[in-house]
Amino acid sequence: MSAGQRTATARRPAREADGRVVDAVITGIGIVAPNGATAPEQWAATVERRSGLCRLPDELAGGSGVRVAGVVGAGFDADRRIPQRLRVQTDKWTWMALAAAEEAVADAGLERADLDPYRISVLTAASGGGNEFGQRELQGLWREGPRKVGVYQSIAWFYAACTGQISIRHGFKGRCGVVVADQAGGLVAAYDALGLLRRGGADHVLLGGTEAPLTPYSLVCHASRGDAATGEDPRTVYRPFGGGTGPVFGEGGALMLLETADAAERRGTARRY
Amino acid sequence: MTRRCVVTGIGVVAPGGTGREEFWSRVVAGEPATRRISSFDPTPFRSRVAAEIDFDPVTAGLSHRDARRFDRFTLLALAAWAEALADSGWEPGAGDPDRTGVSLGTAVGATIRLEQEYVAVSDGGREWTVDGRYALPFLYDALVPSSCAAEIAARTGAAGPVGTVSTGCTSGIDSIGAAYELVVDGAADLMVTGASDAPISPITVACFDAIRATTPLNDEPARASRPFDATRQGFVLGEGAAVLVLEELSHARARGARVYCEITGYAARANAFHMTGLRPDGTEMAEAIREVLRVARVDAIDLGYVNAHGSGTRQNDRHETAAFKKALGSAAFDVPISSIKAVVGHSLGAIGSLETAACALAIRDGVVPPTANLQAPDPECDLDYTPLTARETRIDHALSVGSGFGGFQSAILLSRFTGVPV
Repeated sequence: MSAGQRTATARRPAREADGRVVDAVITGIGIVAPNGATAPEQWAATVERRSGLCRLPDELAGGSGVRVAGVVGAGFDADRRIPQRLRVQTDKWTWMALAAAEEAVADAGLERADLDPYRISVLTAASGGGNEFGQRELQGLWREGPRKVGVYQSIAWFYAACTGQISIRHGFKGRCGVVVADQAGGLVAAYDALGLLRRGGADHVLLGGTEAPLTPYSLVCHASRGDAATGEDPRTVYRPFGGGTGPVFGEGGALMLLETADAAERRGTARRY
Repeated sequence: MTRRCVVTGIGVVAPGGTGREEFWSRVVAGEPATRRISSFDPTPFRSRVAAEIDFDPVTAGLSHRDARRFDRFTLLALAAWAEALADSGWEPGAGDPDRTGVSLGTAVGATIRLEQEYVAVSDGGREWTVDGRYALPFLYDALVPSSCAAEIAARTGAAGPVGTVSTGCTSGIDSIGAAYELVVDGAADLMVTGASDAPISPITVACFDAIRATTPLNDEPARASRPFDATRQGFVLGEGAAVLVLEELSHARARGARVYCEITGYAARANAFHMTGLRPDGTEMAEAIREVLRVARVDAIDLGYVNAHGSGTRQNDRHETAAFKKALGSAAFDVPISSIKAVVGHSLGAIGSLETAACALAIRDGVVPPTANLQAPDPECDLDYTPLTARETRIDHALSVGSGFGGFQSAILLSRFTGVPV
């Protein structure tokens, strides 16, 4: 059939036949944050106003002038949550994404055995990539030569590392995506995920993003904007809407399972956030 | 009524020629633009060849301030953007800004600038704790990949959907696919889209050396990239940018724009298998191809040209051959297929947009570009890979596919614009 003979679109409409917009529901959440290494911990800490900000060690702060940050510290046990094989080939940025993805999938009870893997997508946002991994490999290259660059640099540093690793770990084969939109990335990923569901491109989308910018070179880049908070007291340095202190950088992120209401219903999951 | 998405402007900055027509005539002639790396001394590296662009931003019409402010990948994109917009006859700031958008792809963004600045602030890698006083003042904006799309949006006068896609080596297809969907879904009437990458820097060359993905065939640079050839030994890194202007059909018609072709489908799948490895059976790429044909309602038999990923790694070439057979059935043996990477190298995320541009030009001219350097076909790659010489033939539908680290498999379909209302 040629293009001119097309009589109807194969694309599914953004609305159901009865005119109803396709509903999408969040059925699973995973979080790794400075004030909590899982979604329940992070939410409880947030409700109780427990901050995750702390003084940055000098070896991280470097020449950036940044003294306080939201650090994902010992509460996040990467050794326990990420298999060693995966840990060595990825940056902390991806460890947090893998942990949050696993939590979101478990929270949603997404049993992929029952589902068509081509209908499950992964969509993450990233604007820094594997900063610490990349800086280590750059240092090896420039200090000791090309042979110091390891076999995982090509897959640990680039922006698509988290989406790829999540897709592989969970066997999700639907359309995958990576958006770069600076600080709006997480929201853009959510918008794109909703569009994908409404157009019928997937039934389930694991979406979200993580960042790990607390490395010397990355902090120098962020501080080059000139508006970062420079105070030294973690309790007072960040006051959104209260005096224009400028941003305090942090690491962490969240992954969520967004699915069409029909798909959630079909697989019999009860929870809707 | 179904909204249709047509291509009304094309701009290309590629190795061996900086404009669209130079790029296309070189690709059709099958003249490789690969050479020994000249932007730094490649002696200590395993792979020492690349497809470089002789690009001077000021000669290309950009300002000295642009040249200082932006990484090379943004400069390449801005040059391609200027050509695409002029080609389409669209004036920056024309139309409704809220209905005008940008979708740009890049795999590795500002790698060259990122590495140069790293070297300065770390004193050549001596210090782990770096000193920001040696960095450019606007470093973050130069390095974050989305600044390229933001700059193009500002220059276009686009206030609609603006996004940056970074799905590794399929970024160029995925960014155009996203733009196409925004047009047919009704979120925008005009999209400036494409991709850019300028990855030829020591860190990129070293990281592909480490996994032996790039070729060690350094002695004959022009023959270094040999897709589907039995003697191939890996891909050749390239750089480049292609920008397309996409419009909703009635929008293009209302202003009398020239139409290259129509985009009729886009699909993507993931292999969920391995970050760099490909399953030899090509199942997931085949799935993406089937889906794109289904979306477009085009039969495999009606394909006039398939632009292969054809990176020139043994793994890719066999994976792809299996995928074509699986998705297209007997039609896989009849349709001319080729890879332009022997000519322009593999510019990571950008190449998908260069290849989409090549498909549009193939439809325009009725020419299948050849696979250069294909002199001793791999017996396992037993499809018609159009060795060495271009062929003239009418092309109604051209399929372009891409495959990337992370397991991503993407496909886009371009169709001759018939003008027949649907």
